[in-house]
Amino acid sequence: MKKIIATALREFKTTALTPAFFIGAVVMPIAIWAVIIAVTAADLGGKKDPMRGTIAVIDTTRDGIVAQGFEAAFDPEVQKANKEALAEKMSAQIDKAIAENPMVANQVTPDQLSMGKTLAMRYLGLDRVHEVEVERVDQSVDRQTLRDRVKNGELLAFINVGEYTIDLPNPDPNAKSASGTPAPGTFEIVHSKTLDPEYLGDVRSMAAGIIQDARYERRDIDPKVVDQVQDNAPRAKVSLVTDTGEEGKSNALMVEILPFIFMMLLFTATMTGGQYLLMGTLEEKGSRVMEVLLSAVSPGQLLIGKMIGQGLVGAAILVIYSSLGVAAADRFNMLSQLPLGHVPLLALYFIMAYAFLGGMMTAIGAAVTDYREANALFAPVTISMMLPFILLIIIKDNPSGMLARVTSYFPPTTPFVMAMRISQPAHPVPVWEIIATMVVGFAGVGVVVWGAAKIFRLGVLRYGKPPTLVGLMKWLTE
Amino acid sequence: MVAGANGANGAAIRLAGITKRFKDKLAVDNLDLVVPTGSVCGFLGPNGAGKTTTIRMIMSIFNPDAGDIEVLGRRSAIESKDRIGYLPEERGVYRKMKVKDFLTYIGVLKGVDRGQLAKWIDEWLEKVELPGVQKKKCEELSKGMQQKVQFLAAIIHDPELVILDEPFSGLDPVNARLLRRLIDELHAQGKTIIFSTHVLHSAEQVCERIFMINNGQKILDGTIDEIRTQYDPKSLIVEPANGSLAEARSALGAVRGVHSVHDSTFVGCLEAQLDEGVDASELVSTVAAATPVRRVEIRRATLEDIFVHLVDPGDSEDSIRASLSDTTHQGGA
Repeated sequence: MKKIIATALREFKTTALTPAFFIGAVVMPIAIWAVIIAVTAADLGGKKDPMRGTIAVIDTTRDGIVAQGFEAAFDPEVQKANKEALAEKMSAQIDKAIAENPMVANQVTPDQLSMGKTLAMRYLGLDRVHEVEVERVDQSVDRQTLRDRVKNGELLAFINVGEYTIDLPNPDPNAKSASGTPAPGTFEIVHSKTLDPEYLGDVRSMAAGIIQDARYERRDIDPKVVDQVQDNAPRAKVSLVTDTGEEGKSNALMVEILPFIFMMLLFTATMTGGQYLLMGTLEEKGSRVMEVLLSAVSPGQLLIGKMIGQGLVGAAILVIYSSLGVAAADRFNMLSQLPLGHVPLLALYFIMAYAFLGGMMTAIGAAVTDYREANALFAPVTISMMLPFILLIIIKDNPSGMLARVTSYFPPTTPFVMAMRISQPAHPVPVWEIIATMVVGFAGVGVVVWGAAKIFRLGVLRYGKPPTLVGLMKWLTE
Repeated sequence: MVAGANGANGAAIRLAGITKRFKDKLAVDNLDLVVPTGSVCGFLGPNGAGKTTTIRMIMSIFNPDAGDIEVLGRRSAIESKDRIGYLPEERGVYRKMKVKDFLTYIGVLKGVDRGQLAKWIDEWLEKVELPGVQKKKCEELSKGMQQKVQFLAAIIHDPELVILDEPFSGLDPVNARLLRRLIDELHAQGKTIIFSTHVLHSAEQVCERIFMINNGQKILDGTIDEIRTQYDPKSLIVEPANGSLAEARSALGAVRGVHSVHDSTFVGCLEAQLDEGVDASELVSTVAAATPVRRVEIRRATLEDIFVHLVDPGDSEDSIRASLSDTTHQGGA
């Protein structure tokens, strides 16, 4: 036992207690967030140039209502006024949201709030005034001529709006429009490839807004009233009855992403430990230190020691990221949403997933001599473990469905699928099923570790041509 | 520091009829071997003869297909790994690990207390003329220095039985001499030492007993004296004083007790083969009187002579390697 502990400790120390691990597992994720925040806060992205150029409008509506709307909307004074109004509206909404959440209100300083609002304005383009000239074009102008003007850079785009655009779309998909005019309820934008996609979106929504307003007016509805109604949609205060019987905060987004977070955590921790196992075994084999070790410990002791040591590395990753997640949830008053009672189960699923993958990785590492050879062998392993990611949407959508249940009893996917299932309180997993999948999963682990021990013993001092997957299977019967 | 509980018969290692096969290649064939406790034994044979496979079976790294192994009185080396020091032929170190950490790790695996190891490591590093490398990474050392560290890894836990697979391989003459001295010291402490080598000169200097195998079978087993007697060439080396080989050849041929005369492998010398039953020492003065000589000496069998005599040219390194490359690579055979 002492030898297994010594081996495990060396594996853990040489992997986890190194600057490289600390940088990779802790500093890097924090640094990435810090850089994103710093770059955004310092406004290193810079201020984007406004849209500059001419947009042609072919408007065959009565009174040319859309062209008029465009001319007005691109008027610099009107743009400024509109954007200021929008900025005020946004600012008021932010203030209101913060006022409703005292915890956030206490944490945010006025400077931070101001900076946040500035960044939001920039993100929404409220600090830009476009320099666009609107040119009315007669319907008789040849379409090819307009296309050439767009191509030559003379025009940013041309817009084709007809009288029927103001109508609601025809429910008949086969309905045809009059020659040269858009189908009922639609309009056309033909643009240059140099037009920024964001500005293309602006033009499209601007045209759509003008057309919507025209539709309201033709039905004697005041567009301002519509805006008012839309802006003040009824808001529900949703609460959740917690395990203690109290009302806690409900967060639908959290419930939606929790299964994915659980699975990702498990996968990251498992793959990290498994990868280190593979690399470590390859290094020991490549540097020929393996036989020195085998003079001191049996292959079985070495295998178990290595698996435990790198398992602790994976567990460290799991603990670090889980702790960060719990701390974040606590900070935003969402701790009650986390199924913390499932932590012991999650730990068991981690052991299951890691032992399964770790056993395979060690066996592969022992059987080959370099990483390229290992790649060919562990691709099928990785693919089988990736299965829950491929089927993520289906399993998450119906965690009690046939697919979820079948993959719960397939040892390579058992821990990942079960982690997803138990993290969805709306679909409780029966206790008998948790026990049954545990039995199946750990039986699979037993078979893999037995096979890994056999392959490890046979392969660890073998050099030369690597075995194929079939060859590796044959070793099991030797 | 003194050999402990060994086999009841005083054997540190006892192999009885061990056989090992790798696919179609019979690596070791029904091998019997006894290594007496406290002895220094050389394990010789051409490449591919089965030395490394035999050593790996002794170390329980491989299991034999047939036969029994007894190591330090136990049925398997697994039960007495901490009492055995092993330097494999394919040896290595953790390149990124510091020398002291590496030796400590191996020592701990061998069951030695960390506190005790710290002192032993410092002492041994001084002894192998590597002072001050404790905190250096293994990859920072030269190949020769790494070999010394590897040797220390094999003996740092003060084992009773030391098994060294090609310990002189790659060492310069100075370090080879240092290693021979260390082996002598270990032997003087009562430890049993077995090593395989191609450096027959070193084996001759250090070993009390020699085993030679070829094609997995034992072809020689005995003490150095026994072997020399067994393979005594019964001849004299004669170096004529005047340099005339023809004249000396004629004179020597006429000496009673000389069976035949032929050119020696030593330049400018002749070798006089003696009749059966003739005492070579008694004939030295007769030969010196028969013809003017610069030197007359009784030829002794060297391990190299015996090796070449016993090992079929077809079993030379190259031919063995060629045949091995067609079979499954097993890291040695």
